[in-house]
Amino acid sequence: MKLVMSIAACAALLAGCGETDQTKSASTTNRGDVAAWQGSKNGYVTQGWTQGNQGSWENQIRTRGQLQNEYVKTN
Amino acid sequence: MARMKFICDSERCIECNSCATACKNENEVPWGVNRRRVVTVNDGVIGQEKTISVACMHCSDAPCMAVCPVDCFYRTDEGVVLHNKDACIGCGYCSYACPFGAPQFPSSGTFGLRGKMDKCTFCAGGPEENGSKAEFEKYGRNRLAEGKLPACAEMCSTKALLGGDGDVVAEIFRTRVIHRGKGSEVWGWGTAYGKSPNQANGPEGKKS
Repeated sequence: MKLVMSIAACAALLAGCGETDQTKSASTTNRGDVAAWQGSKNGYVTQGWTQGNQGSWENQIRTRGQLQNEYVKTN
Repeated sequence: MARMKFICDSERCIECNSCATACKNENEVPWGVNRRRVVTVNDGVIGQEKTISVACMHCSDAPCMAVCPVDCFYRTDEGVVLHNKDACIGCGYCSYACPFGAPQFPSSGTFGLRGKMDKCTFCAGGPEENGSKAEFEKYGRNRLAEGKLPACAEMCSTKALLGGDGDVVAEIFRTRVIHRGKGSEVWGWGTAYGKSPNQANGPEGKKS
């Protein structure tokens, strides 16, 4: 009995030396947000991509990003 | 996976403030809160005056997230740093931690009480349902969920301000630098993302 008690006491003491993970990432923070590629239920969504399709959204964002590149337009 | 970033090209910015105006209009930002602002350095010094558009850069290792005592910040899979206004207590720690002065506080409360923090969302809204009225009232428009890019970057008349997928905007900027042969320094890029866009995509360029 004494042995069990001492092992339990040692385990409790050792547990106190541990450290909880404080890493910040999308999976560990309190995000209840829905990803942008899921789309929006309003009337302002642009044409040319499929809501709910991540690949389609990423292509749309890249294509739209190229509208900022005047070298594509002029050369 | 897209990684959203901003670049402000100080060689092109003409201090027109259309980015700040577009942001204000698109998100109906209240009086006294400026999610984006235009800053001039070396004002009046011939040949050294530069103007840059500054807002939240959605840092890779955001210091605001690290100091928030109520853990109201979160990062989306696209790298956009957002926050939950329901959790924010308006303490202002994020304001002290941010190297860009991005967090803003409405001061409409009694005795100058600070309200809940407000900042650039990369036009990605907040935790509420995408495109909903509640999201718009708290955080502004969610243009990303509409397949668009931030209003400030899309409205920029000289395309000094670039916003979107980091690889795309870095490549656009790199092409520019090669064509004009100067102006490879990007203000704030090193602070926000750890390296300059030219270092990320090619051998040339200086650290910002």
